[in-house]
Amino acid sequence: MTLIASIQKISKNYHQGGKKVEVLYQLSLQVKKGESVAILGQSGSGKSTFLSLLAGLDQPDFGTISIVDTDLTQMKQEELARFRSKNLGIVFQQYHLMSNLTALENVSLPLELQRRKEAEKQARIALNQVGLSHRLSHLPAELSGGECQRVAIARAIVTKPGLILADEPSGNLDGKTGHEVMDLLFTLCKEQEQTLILVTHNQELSKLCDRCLHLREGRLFAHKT
Amino acid sequence: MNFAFKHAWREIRNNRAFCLFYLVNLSLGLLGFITIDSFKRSVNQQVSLESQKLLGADLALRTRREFSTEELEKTKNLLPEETLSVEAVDFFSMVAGPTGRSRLVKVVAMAPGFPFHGSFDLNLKGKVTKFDDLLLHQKPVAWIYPELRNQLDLDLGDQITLGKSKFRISDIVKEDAGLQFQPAEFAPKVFISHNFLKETALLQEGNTAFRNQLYKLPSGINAQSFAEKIGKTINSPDIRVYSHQRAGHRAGRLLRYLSDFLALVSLVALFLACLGSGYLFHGFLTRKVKDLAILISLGASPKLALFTYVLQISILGAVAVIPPVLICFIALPLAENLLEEFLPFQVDAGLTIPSVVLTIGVAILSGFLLALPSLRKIRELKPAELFRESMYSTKSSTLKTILWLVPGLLGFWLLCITQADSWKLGNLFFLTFAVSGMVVYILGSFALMAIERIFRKSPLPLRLASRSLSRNRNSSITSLLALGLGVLLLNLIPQFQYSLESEINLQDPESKIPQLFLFDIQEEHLTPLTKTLQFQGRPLDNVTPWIRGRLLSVKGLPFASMDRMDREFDNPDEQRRNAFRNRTFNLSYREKLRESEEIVRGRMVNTSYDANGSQPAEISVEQKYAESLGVDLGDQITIEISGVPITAEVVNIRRVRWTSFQPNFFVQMQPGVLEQAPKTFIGTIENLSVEEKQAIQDLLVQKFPTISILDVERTGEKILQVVGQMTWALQVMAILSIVVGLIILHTISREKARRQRQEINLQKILGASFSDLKNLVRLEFGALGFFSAILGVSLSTGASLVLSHYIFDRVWNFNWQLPIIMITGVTLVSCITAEIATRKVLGEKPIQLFKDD
Repeated sequence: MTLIASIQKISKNYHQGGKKVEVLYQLSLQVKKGESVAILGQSGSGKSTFLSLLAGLDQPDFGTISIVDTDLTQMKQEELARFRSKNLGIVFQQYHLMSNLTALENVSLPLELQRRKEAEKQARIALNQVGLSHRLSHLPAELSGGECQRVAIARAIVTKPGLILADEPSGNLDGKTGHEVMDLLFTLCKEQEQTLILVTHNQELSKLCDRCLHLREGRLFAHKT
Repeated sequence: MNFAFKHAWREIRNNRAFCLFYLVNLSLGLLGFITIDSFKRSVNQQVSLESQKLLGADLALRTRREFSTEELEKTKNLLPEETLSVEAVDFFSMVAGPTGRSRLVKVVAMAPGFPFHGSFDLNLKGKVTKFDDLLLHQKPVAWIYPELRNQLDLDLGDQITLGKSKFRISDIVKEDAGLQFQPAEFAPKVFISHNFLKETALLQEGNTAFRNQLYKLPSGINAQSFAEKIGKTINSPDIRVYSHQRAGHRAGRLLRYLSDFLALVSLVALFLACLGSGYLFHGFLTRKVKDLAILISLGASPKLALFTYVLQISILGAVAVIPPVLICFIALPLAENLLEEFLPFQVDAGLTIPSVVLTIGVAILSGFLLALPSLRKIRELKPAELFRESMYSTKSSTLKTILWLVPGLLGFWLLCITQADSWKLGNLFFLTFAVSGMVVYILGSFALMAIERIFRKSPLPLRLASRSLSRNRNSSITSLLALGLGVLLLNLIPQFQYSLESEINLQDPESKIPQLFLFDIQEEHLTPLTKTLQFQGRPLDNVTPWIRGRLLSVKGLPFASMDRMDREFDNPDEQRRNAFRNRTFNLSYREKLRESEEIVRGRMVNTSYDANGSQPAEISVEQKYAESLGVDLGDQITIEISGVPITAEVVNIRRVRWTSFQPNFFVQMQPGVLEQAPKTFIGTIENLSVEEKQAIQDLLVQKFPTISILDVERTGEKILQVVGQMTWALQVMAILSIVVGLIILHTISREKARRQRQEINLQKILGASFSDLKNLVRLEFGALGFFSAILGVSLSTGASLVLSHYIFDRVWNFNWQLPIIMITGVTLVSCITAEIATRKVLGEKPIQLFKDD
């Protein structure tokens, strides 16, 4: 199978209170197309940093990140934005929907950024896929947590990106809703042959993935059950 | 680009409250700006269109003496052959009606052919456009202004006495043309023919009549360039050369000064509006930080995300121009009647296209420039924060924020310069404004620090209110700035008016202002006049000689005026100063100072002069005149009096309180020098009742027809009327600033309540009632309004004191009623505004606390 993501020896440090904090150290990972990878780790282990590097929202101090054969570390802001728009879908723990936009507007936003025609039509299809065709004109404040996360998933898949990055998608939801949302995410990724990198601390969820890795002391280790 | 437009529009549509307040705020600020700018442009446009009619010619020479044949010949040789010329004389004189009642009038003696341009609109004859063959030039008849008809109870066919001649009234003038150099006349006009002027015997030695030589150039010739050439060739400082453009410029100057000041005051409202809009946009962007990060995480570049919001404020800026344009379009034409005192003709004021374009530019740019510090924060945004539990906003240094405000301040400075039409005035205004802003900021910061300490152990509501004020420093300071500057303006302008009214207190029996001011008293008339008045029991006071002098040299250098004349046309500052310098001037001599005078530097002049000695004569020079000439103690100037040059040394610099209406002069020579020079006298009569004043005036006109009498009360009233109208116009602009300030307060309290929504609901859960919270808001914003008003009033009082010292000859009186009304009013209105703004949040059910994430 072809590789969709190739991360080579990346390191990331932060400076806090005059001290250097090593978050990621020579971390490497290769992910195949259509694969689902769970990344487990304790709070502060660097999971979020790792995801923001994969999303091209931050740059590593050392190493290379190659997604769909494109080295993100060599790209400029504008190029990264275009790349993100085309190839990545992101699902956040706090949903991060635009508070003043309706569900439909939130989902059509990435398509509009790509100047795609029939953005609204595509967004309706995506919302239908997540079971929210009856909540199109509702604002995020008028939706439940589970519904918000469904909208966020629809927004992540609507452009049919090759890689979905999900950061604790069920972290803010109750058990049942969390499961429903995760099932939906896995199903959609499978249906559309999308690669999923899921960051979670929920071991149950990680078992649904093809591969499970543990982030510890800045490096990834194969997870032992 | 398409996405940016779409998203910007969506943001506008989905944030209606923000957009509405942004628009209202900016629209109010732009309203004053566009109104005044359009008005200024209308006036300038009309003055330039009417300038030939105002002068009655293309070019004119004007002086207070007879032109020499050589001067007229030189001028003729410079002008094209086909040029036509005509002469006219204008002067103030007394006129008596058939009943013996008299008035001061302005006599215009016109030769056949005057004026070349414009027309007269007469009651009987209708519109007159040809002036060669009029009955006026064949018989001793006069055309008079309608107000003289009422004042002297005249009718057509009645006879009036002018000097030693009688003229029959043949028509009433509704509209005239020519020799209109003044914005407004202090006396009604009487038109007679130049052919009958000599018989009046009014033009005697030392009189103040203006002789005018008017020229009509062949069409298509630029009068201005000829005016400059003539000025240089004649090279006589006491002859003024007017092109019609310059005459129009001069006639419109009072209104231009007023509109320049109005423009500056309107800029305060605009600045405050921008401050409010900037504050609103900052709050809006702060709320949008997360949305921006989301947008970037979805694939928008930071530039695109930034552009979306720049576009949004640009669209809002452009939309904000619509209401002021509409209001200005409807209201501006109504203003023409209100300002008729300021121009010799009616202004057809209306909205102008350049003003609309400029306003759109200002609206879009101002929003953008003031949003720069907030937009900069977007650039520093880290979308990776989205992966963390809560997004924190990056704190930037105050210095950086101020640096990002510099382009906005530069833009404001540019507007000040262009709107004031004067480098000096624009800079002075900008500096005053910036210093006031800084003082409010510094004092406000100290006050906020102090109140938290002062009320640390006070009852809970006071403690909470003071904490809220001091811990939300930016919003508190913005409110203080907005309201404080508004109050400053609102209090400053009437404070000047009050000072001036107190000074020219015409009703005060203790007032030392004379009732009648007599001038053009010939030397031979002085003794009989004094005796006549003595006999009437009303002595002639302040009898002072009046001599015309011409500056020949200053500090040994020949007094050349020509190079200044070129510059005069462009720069009002220079124009004012040159008008002061170029003029041949009046001077006098006396042994002691009057109470309206004070020596600032130097000593009193010696009371005796040795004509055979080698020492120059001693002179005293008025402070501002000395400044304009650039002379100080010990400097020498040479003055020509009736062809005799006299060199004199400045021994003192004198301050004169001109509003005393006492006979005062720019230059006073020591006694013993000018006694033999040809002169007239001026004098005053005090303590007259209205009836006595009229009776004395009529008697004097009958016995001494060449003496002119100025009714000081009438003149004072006219001055106060003009000042009153100016104050009214400036007050309207100042009120606009206060309204903008209150909108800002509304915005701030609304924003604050929205931000503190959770705390407010928490307080309710903890037991605070609706009225408790309402009182807290009243207390907090009432205190803010109170402090702003105190600051504004204190600053305006200080500023009026300082400005009156430098501009109005120390005329300053404190009006305590206005500040009290202002402080009470602003405090109350602030409470009400904040209450309205926070009502929704305060009235919310505390259950919202559980619903919010």
